[in-house]
Formats: sequence, structure tokens, C-alpha cells
Amino acid sequence: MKTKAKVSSKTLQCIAVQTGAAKAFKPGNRVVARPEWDKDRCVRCGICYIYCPHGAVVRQDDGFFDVNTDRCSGCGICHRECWFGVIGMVEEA
Amino acid sequence: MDKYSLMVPNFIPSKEYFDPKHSVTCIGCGVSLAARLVGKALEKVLSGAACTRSSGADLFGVKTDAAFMRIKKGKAELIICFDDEPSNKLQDALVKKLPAVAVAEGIGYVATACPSYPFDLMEKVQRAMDAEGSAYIHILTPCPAAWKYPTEETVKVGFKAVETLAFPLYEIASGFYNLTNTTLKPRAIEEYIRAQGRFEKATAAQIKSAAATVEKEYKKLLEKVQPE
Repeated sequence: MKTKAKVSSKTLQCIAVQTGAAKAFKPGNRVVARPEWDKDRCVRCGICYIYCPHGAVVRQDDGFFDVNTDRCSGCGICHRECWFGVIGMVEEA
Repeated sequence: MDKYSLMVPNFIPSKEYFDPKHSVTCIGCGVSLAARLVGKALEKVLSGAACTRSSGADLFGVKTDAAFMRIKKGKAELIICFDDEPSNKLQDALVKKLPAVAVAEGIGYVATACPSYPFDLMEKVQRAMDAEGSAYIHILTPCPAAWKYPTEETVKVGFKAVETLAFPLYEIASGFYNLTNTTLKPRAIEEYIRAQGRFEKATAAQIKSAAATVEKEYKKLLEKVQPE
């Protein structure tokens, strides 16, 4: 059933209107772009790892980093915070 | 390279204790980032999603709309407030009442933190757990949806809040004030206000009075910080 609730932008912010409406989705389902690392220039400092809000950046065995597509929401914080400009955002098809 | 590289993740536990699936968080959410760091500092799964908030909740007798979390430690508890300024007023963005109220309530350890300074935040959470009695931590969490800025700017806006002295980082342990981040050359408050879309209509006069308020508040804080 559809409900038309009067919601002002002040109170809504980040609360879902209907409970349980988004249960079928993972944070990775609504993604516009995903990060991609340039391994030739990456120094493996881990700034991207520590600033990721959803913990989507995963450290691999060789020390480089990759993205967990289930968790990544495509915010671009890692791209913005990388000191060396190694991370690019690639648009999803 | 392995020998000399400074690997940031070596200093923090690699396990993720915060699962974004269980709580509704936006793209680039500051609350989510703060909750994740708190989980890593405590090294346990946080019960109760960070983003659940009840409007008009009562904290130390002050009504707030901010989300807060209570964690038991022995007989006392650790209260963490995730402040994303739901009121959207310029005055609330400049003056934080809750830490001062918490000190007046007689809470042993009070601190302010920002997820842009992750190690500072995690150290404070660990110190709060070690401190005797109750503790209170006030975390400023930028929110891209309500503050109206691009999602990738979350960390940068946090830096601006601290560097313009709008949100100085300090801790109060057993009555002693301690500045944990000293900004030698503070930026103009205009940078912080103009970075957010919600203050688009702020006039030059308002920004001037905002600068005066910030300077006054920071002087008050400096007076309380005892010299060594």
C-alpha cells in the first residue's frame, strides 16, 4: 500500500519513510560510480581504507587495496582524500 | 618499499564491526564513518544502529534531535553523541552547548571529536573507556544530505570545521582542559559557512557576527585550558 506522508525536508534527512522498504537492497546496489586504483603509482598508505564510511575498501594480500562492491556506495571520499590522486571514479554501466 | 612504507591500517584492527546493511545510511554519511571508527576503537559490535534517532530526546535535561548512543562500561556508561546539526541554524553550528552541560553534570571525561581526525577520535574513545565513571564524547558528523554539499567533501568539511575554530577539538579529564588539536593559522569562518549549501543565503553581516561568536567561544575555551 502506498502512503503519502507529508514530510518536510527538515525532519526527513536520512530516515526512510516506510520501514523495511529498502531491505532487499545492499548499499552497493544504488551505485553510480566506483573507485579504481592505479597500482603503478599507489604507495599503499591506506588513507582510503581509514576514511571509507562503509568499510568498503579491502586490503589484499599484496598490500594494495580493492573495493568490496557489496558495501561501496560510490560517495567518492577515497578519490577526494587520496594524497597522490591514484584513485579514479569509474562510472557504472 | 615494504620496509619503509607507513601503512595506516597497521595501527587499527582490520575487522569491520560496523555493518551499513543494518542501518540506513546515505552516500558519504559522516555518522556512518564515525560509528565505524568507534566500533574499531571498542573492538566490539555496536548494538543499536547509529542512525536511529528520536526527535526531542532528553540528554542531561537538554532536548536534542541528534543521534546518540549509550555503551555500558561496568556500572557507568559511555554516551556518544553524533551531532549532525539537525536544526540547520547558523547559531547551532557555531556554539555547542552539550559538552559544557556534561561538565556541569559532573561527568569525569568529556571530549569533542571529528571523524576527519580518525586517530584522535579512536584515542578519545579508548581513553573514555579507561576513565573512571561516566564519559561523554561529542562527535561532529557532517551530513551531505542535510548540509547540502557534494558527497565526497565529507572529510574536507570536517577539516574546515576544526581549522576555522568553529568546532575546536578538546578533552576534559577530571577537570583539566586539554586542546588536542591546535590550529596555528585558523582559516576564516566564511570558508566553512560557504562550503555548505544550507547557509547559501547567509549575508555578510551574519558571517561577521558568526566570526565574532567563534572568536569569543574560543577565547572562553583558551581561558579554561590551564598552562603547564
